[in-house]
Amino acid sequence: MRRHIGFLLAALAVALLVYLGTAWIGNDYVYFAGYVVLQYVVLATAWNILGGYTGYVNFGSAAFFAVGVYTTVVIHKTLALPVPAILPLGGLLAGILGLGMGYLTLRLRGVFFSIATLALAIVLNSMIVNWSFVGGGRGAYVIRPREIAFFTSYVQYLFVLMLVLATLAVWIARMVERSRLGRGLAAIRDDELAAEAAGVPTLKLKLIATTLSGFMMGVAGVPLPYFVTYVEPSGTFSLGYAVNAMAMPLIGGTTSWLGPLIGALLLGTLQQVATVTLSATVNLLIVGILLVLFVTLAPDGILGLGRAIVRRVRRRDG
Amino acid sequence: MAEAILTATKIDKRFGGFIALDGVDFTVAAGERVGLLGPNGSGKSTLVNCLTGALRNDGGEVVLLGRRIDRLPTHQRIRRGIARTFQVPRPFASMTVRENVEIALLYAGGATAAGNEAPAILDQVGLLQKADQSSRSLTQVDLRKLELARAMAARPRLLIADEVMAGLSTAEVDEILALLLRLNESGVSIVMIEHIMYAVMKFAQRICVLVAGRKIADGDPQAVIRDPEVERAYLGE
Ligand SMILES: Nc1ncnc2c1ncn2[C@@H]1O[C@H](COP(=O)(O)OP(=O)(O)OP(=O)(O)O)[C@@H](O)[C@H]1O
Ligand SMILES: [Mg+2]
Repeated sequence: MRRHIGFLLAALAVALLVYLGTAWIGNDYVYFAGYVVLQYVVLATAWNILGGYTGYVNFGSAAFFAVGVYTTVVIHKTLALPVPAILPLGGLLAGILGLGMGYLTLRLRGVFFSIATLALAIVLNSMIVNWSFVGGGRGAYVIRPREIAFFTSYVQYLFVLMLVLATLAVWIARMVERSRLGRGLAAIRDDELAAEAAGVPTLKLKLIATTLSGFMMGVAGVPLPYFVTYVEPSGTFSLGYAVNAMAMPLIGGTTSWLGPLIGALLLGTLQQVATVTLSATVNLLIVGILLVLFVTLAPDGILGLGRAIVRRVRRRDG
Repeated sequence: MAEAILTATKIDKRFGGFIALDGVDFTVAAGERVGLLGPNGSGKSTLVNCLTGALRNDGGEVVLLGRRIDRLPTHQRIRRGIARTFQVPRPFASMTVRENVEIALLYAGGATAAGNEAPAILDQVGLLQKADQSSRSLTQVDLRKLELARAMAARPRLLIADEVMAGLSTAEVDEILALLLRLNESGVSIVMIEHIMYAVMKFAQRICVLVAGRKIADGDPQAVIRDPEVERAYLGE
């Protein structure tokens, strides 16, 4: 545990530096762009726990994300709790959805599981469209407070919140990866039958993975309504979230916590730049092309490429 | 005879219309060494799969140490003391040789931390030199040794070795034989499935013979291989 605490402290220190850097720039645009990138860090890291560590490809990330988003919409219209109080709630509901999905679909293998997750997102989407309390298909306005204590703007506040969430997400993912649980998940990814024969309770571990992954995706969605101030299903369930949550780990590298982090920072930033310099619509095109390139040419992602280079250099020197 | 550690009775297994196992009785006593023989496709691996849970038997029951296990998931059977190797090796390909063994130590062998026990096991099967290699880089022969190491790491009461010696040199066969004998002396019951006859004859205290999903002989090795029905099954009419 001590080494995990050490990592957390180091990660928080990095987060603090990021915060100080952005505060020094002091431009709201940095917070807007930074929030989006960090949100993808959480989403990609969450996706990777199931998709990368366990080998179950989830096409329905948007569904879990949306549970977090709409938890906030509901709370906003009823109890009006502050965002930090909604985080565990949205996470919990998305986690329960993950657990339920796991129970129903984890007996399916490979592509059938993935199709089931896609179907889940579609089902949830149409449920939200028909739920008028949260605005149905037309959407709902979520007015954020004009100002908030300790922060120069509400957007800065949300940015800092997402910075903390991203730090925690990466920390959790790294802890899982290096734990007994993480080793069991890796065994499942490699060969489920052999994992069982080695004593790994595969169903239980997969349910933990779907629940944890869902929880983290839900948490990622909670602050969004206050960030965009207007949520509607077609935006919340947009292809972008599902594709990015999957593409970022795949491009960064799925076997380690570092992969989704690198992938999300790189692609997230690239997309923010492209939105400004080109147009918002080329974003997915960029991601799509990169995804195809990596999956075909470098299936182990940037991390895999890095390791291969290190190995080659070492061999030449040794 | 010592008390039974495993008792399987009237095991049936069908694949569609094909009857792979037909009312097979199979027992192993505590500390016993059993050879399981039979021509290709006679149902040996299918029996192992039914005993360990990789397949569900359609009929009959399996009792391990006094408790019925044939409706338990595989990992629970393993933890109750029955470990197996896969005839066609199934390594965890993203892991090193050592990590492969550590998984079984952690999840079935009662190790609290995958610390120092893996090297000892790898040493016993002759894979210590390759502990830090990727299991992907192993030859078929080494993969079979890894199967054995992983099964041993589960600290079983009963170990089923499904053709772990296939492809080994005579010297290596003798090494693995000696290893299995040592393991047996430490109290582990062992079922050996092997086509290498001299190994089975040297090892087994009792031999069972399956032919086309039925058990046709079960008893003293010398008597069983002289059984006319067994001869006919192996040599043809
Ligand atoms: N999953 C399966 N689905 C369909 N048929 C199967 C399956 N597994 C085994 N069989 C069939 O059951 C029969 C018994 O197979 P099994 O693998 O148990 O034989 P075996 O005695 O282990 O043979 P070998 O000595 O070649 O390993 C074979 O005819 C095989 O084709
Ligand atoms: Mg076989």
